[in-house]
Amino acid sequence: MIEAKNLTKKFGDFTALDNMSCTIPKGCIYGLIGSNGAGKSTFLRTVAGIYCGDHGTVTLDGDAVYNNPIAKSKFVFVPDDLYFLPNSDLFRMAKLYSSIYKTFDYGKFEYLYTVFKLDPTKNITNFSKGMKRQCAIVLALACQTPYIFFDETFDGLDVAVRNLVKTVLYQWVEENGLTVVVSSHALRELEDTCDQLALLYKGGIIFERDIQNLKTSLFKVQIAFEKESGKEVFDGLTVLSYKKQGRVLNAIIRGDREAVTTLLSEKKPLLIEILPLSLEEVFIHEMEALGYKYEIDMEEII
Amino acid sequence: MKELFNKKLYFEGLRQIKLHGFFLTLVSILIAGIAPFWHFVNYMQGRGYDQILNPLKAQWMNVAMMYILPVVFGFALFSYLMKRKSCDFYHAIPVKRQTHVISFALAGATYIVVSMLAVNLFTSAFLALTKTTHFSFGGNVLLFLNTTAGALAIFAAVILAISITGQKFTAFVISCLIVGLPMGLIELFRLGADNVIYSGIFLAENFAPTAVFESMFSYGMEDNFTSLFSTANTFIVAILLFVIACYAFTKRKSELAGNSAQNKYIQYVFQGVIAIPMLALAAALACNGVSSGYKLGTSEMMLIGVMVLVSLIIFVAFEIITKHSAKNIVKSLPVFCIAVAVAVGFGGAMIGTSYYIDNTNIDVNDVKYVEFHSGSVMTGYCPNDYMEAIYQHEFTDSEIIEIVVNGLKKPDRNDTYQGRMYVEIGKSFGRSIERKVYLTDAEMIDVFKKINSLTEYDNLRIEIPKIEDVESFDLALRNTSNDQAEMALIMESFYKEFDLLNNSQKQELLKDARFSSRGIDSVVNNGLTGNTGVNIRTYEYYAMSTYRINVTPLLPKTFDMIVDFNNNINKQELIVLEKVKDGYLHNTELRMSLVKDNKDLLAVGNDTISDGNTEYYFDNDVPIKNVLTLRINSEQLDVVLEIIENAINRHIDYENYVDYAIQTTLADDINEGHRSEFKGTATFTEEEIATLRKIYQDEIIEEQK
Repeated sequence: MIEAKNLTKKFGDFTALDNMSCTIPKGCIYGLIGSNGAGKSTFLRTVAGIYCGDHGTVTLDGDAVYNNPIAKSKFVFVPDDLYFLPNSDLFRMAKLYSSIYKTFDYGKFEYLYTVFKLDPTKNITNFSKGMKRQCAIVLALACQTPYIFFDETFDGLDVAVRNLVKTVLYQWVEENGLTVVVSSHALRELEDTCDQLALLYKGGIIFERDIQNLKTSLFKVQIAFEKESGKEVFDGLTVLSYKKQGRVLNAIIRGDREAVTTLLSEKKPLLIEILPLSLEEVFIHEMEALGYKYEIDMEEII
Repeated sequence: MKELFNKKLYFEGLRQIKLHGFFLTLVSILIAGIAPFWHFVNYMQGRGYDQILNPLKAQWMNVAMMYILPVVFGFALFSYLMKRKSCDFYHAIPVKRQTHVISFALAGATYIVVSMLAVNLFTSAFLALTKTTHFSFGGNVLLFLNTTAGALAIFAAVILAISITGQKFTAFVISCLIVGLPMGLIELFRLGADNVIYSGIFLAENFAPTAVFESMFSYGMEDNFTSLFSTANTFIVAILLFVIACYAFTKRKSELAGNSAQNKYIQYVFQGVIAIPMLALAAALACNGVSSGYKLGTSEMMLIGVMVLVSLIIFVAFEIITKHSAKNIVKSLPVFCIAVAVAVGFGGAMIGTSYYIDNTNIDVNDVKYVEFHSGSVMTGYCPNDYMEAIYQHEFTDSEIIEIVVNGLKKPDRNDTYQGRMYVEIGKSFGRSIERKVYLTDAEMIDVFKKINSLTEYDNLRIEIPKIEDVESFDLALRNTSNDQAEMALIMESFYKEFDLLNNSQKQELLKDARFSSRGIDSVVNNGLTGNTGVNIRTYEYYAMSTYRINVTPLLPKTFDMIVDFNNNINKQELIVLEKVKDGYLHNTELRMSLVKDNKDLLAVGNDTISDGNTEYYFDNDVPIKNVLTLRINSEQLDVVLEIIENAINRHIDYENYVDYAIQTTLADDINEGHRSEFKGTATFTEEEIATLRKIYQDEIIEEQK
C-alpha cells in the first residue's frame, strides 16, 4: 500500500504538491488525472523517491521511500520522458535493468517483447515514440516488482496497443498482484484501464473514487408530470445538478439507481427515464458539485 | 561495505564507458608511441644514443591523459544527472546514492588506472625492447603513480562539480575551478607578495594537476611529476575531494537537473567565483608592483583595467550561457562588486604580508646559518657548474650571514640588484625562516669570494660519486669504447689514484669539472671537456648526475691508459683515412674542432670543409655526381688529410698534451647516414694549425664571395 500524508513539495515559489494525502491500495490500477501542473508527475516522482518532500511523508508498505533501496526495489518508475542508454537495444537495456532489479525475469522479458512484437536487437533510438513506450513497459513489467508507476506512459498509444497494454497489465495484476499507478492529463486515456481514479488540481487531490462505483452511482434522470412541478420532486435525493425544460425536469443524481427509480415512480410521472453518464460527464458534475467550474479548471483533462 | 559498493552497478559502470575507455586508450597508445618511436628512429640514424631518457619525455601522454581521462569518464558516467529523464531513472532505482556514486566512481577509476597503465606499459615495453636508451623504470613508476593520482583527483573534482551543478558547462567550469583555483590563488599570492617564500604543502608543484602550470614559472617540471611527496599529497587531495563529492552527490536534489545551480544564490556564488581568477591576477600584478617598491605605470594600470573588464565579461557570459537569458544581469552586478572586493582583500593580504616580512627585523647575532636554495639567481658569480654544491649547505660564516641579513633590510626589490637568492636563515633558537634576498653586484662578489675562501666549500668541491654508485663511466672522447672491461679498468685506476690525492690536488683536478644534477639528456653532449676527460654518471629514479672530469697527469696511470686508448683508436681509424685519400669514398664530410687547454676554440670545427676528392664516383661502373658542392679543391684536401695523418701518427703523450689538439670526425657517404667512420683526437703543431686555419679562412672568404 502506498500512503502519502500531508505531502508538500515546492520548487522555489511554486507549490507543486500542497499538503496532499492519499492511499493507494494493493492490487489496483490507480489513475491520477490532472491538467498540466496539477502535480501528477511531482507526486509520482516523490512516491518513487526521486524527490524528497518538503513536508509530510510517503511510505510504501510502511517504509519511507527516499534513498531507501528496500522500498525502491518494490517498484519500477516509468517516467513521461523515457530514458534509454545511448545507442542501446532492448537486450542492453535488459542487462541494465537486471543488474539493478534482482527480480528481473528474462523469461517474462522474452514473452513480453514477443507479445509487443518488438525486435530486441534493434537500436531503440530508431524506434517510434509509441514503440519506445512499449519498450519501457516491457522492461518495467519484466522487473516483476509489486508496484509500477507510469507517468503519462499510455498517452498517445494507439487503440490496438493500448488494448494490448491493458490486457497485459490485467494479466500481471491477476497473476502477480501488481499495483499500478498511472497518471495522465486526459481522462479518456485511463477510463477503460483504471480501477480507481484520483483527480489532482493545484497540487492536491480533489477527489478519488472507485471507477465502477463512480460510473454507476451518478446518473441522469429525465422526468415529466402532468401538473407543473419543480425541484421538490427530487427531495430526499442527492442532486448534483438540476435543470427544467418546459415540463421536463432534468437532474443528475447520486445514489442507488433502482432505489431512485422506485422512489420517483411512486410519484406517478408521465415520463421517467434514467440515463447513464459518460465518465467525462460524471467528472464534470462531481467537479461542479465541489465548486469547480468545468470550463475554466477542467477543460484540459476532459 | 555491501551497502557502499554494488558489484553489479560497478560492472554496469564499466560497460557504460567501455567504448570511451577502449577508444581513448587505443588513441593514447598510438600517440604515446610517437615519443619512443622517434627516439628509436634517432637511434637508428646514429643520433640521440647514450642518453638517459627522462620518464616525462617518454610518457608525456600520461600527463595529457591525466587531464583527458577523468573529464571524459566523469562526464560519461555521471552526466545523467544533467538531464531530467536520466536523472529520474537513476534516482528511482533501488540503490542508495552513496552506493551508486562509489560503484560508478570505482568503475571510472578502474578505467583511469587501466588506461594509464596500458599506455605506460606500452611505452616502457617499447623502450625496454628496443634498448635504444637508458630509461629510468623507477622514475617511470613514480611518474605513473603521480599522474594517476592527479587523474583521480581531477575525476573526484568532476564528480563533485557534477553533484553541485545541473548543466555540463557549469560542471566543467566548476571542475576546473575546484582543481586549479586554490593552488592558483597561492601562486598568485606568491607573485603579488614578491618577498614571500612559501614552501609548504599547498603549492602548485605538490599537486599533480597543477604541477604543469607551476612549471611554467619555474624550472624542472620533471621533478614535480616524479615526486613522491607530490604523489602522496595529490592522492590525499583526491580522497578528500571524493569524500566531499560523495556527500554532495547524496544530498543533491534531483530537480537540479538541467539548471545551472540549485538556486539563485548558489548561481551568484558560481558567477562570483568564476570572476575571481582574473581579478586575483589583476590584484597580484598591482600588488607585485607595490610590494616591489615601484609605482605602477600607465601600461600596467591599463593591463589591470583590461583584466577587470575581462573578468566582468566572463561574469556576464557565464550568466548568459547558463541561464540562456540576460534579464538578471543587472540584478547580479552587486555580486561582481563583491568579487572585486574579495580581490581587493586578496591584494590587501598580499601587501600586508609583504609589509610584515619587510618590517620584521632579523638581528645578525640571532642568525646561526644561511642556506642557499635552488632558484637563486647567481649567474656570473659562480666560477663553475660545480658551484651548485653550495645549495642545501649551512654556511655559518659571519660575513656571509651579515651580507645576507643586511640584504633583507632593503626597502625595494627592483632590477638594480644583480642577484636574487632564496635563503633559509636559521636562527640561534632553533627556528628557521625563508626569505628572498636581493643583493648588489658588489655584495654578490663579496659573498662568493667568501664562499670560495672557505674550507667547508673546498670540501664540497672535492666530492665525486662513490665508485659503487657509478652507473656509467666512459671517456669524454669523440670515439669512446663500448668495451666494458676496458672501461672498468680505467675507472678502477681513476678512483684508486683519485683517493691518493690530497685535498688541494683534488681541487686542482676538479677546478674545471662540470657537474649537472639534472638528468635530462641535453647535458650529455654540451661541449668538450678535454682530450682525456671522463664522464661519471649516477642514475637516480629519473635523474642523472653527470660529472665531467679531466684526467690530467695528476692521475698518471689513468692518464696513460686513456692516451693509449685514444692512440689505438686513431691507428685503427687510419684505414678510413687511407680510403679517403685513395678516392674510394664519396660524399665525404670532415668536421674538426680545435681544442686548446681543454677549451673548444671553435676554430675549424663544425663545418663541412670538404667533399670527396673526386667530382664523380662510380657505382657498378655508373658515374654518379657527388651531391655535395665541392667546397675545397682536391689539392687542399690532400694537404688537410696529410696533416691529419701526421698528427694521428704522432700520438698524444704527456709532452704534447698541452699543445693544440683537434678532435676530428671524418664521415663518408653522409647521405646514407654514415657519420662516424672516423673519430679521433690528435695533437698538431703550430705550423699545421696555421695551415688548417688558412684553408678554413680561405673557405669562408670563398663562401662570402
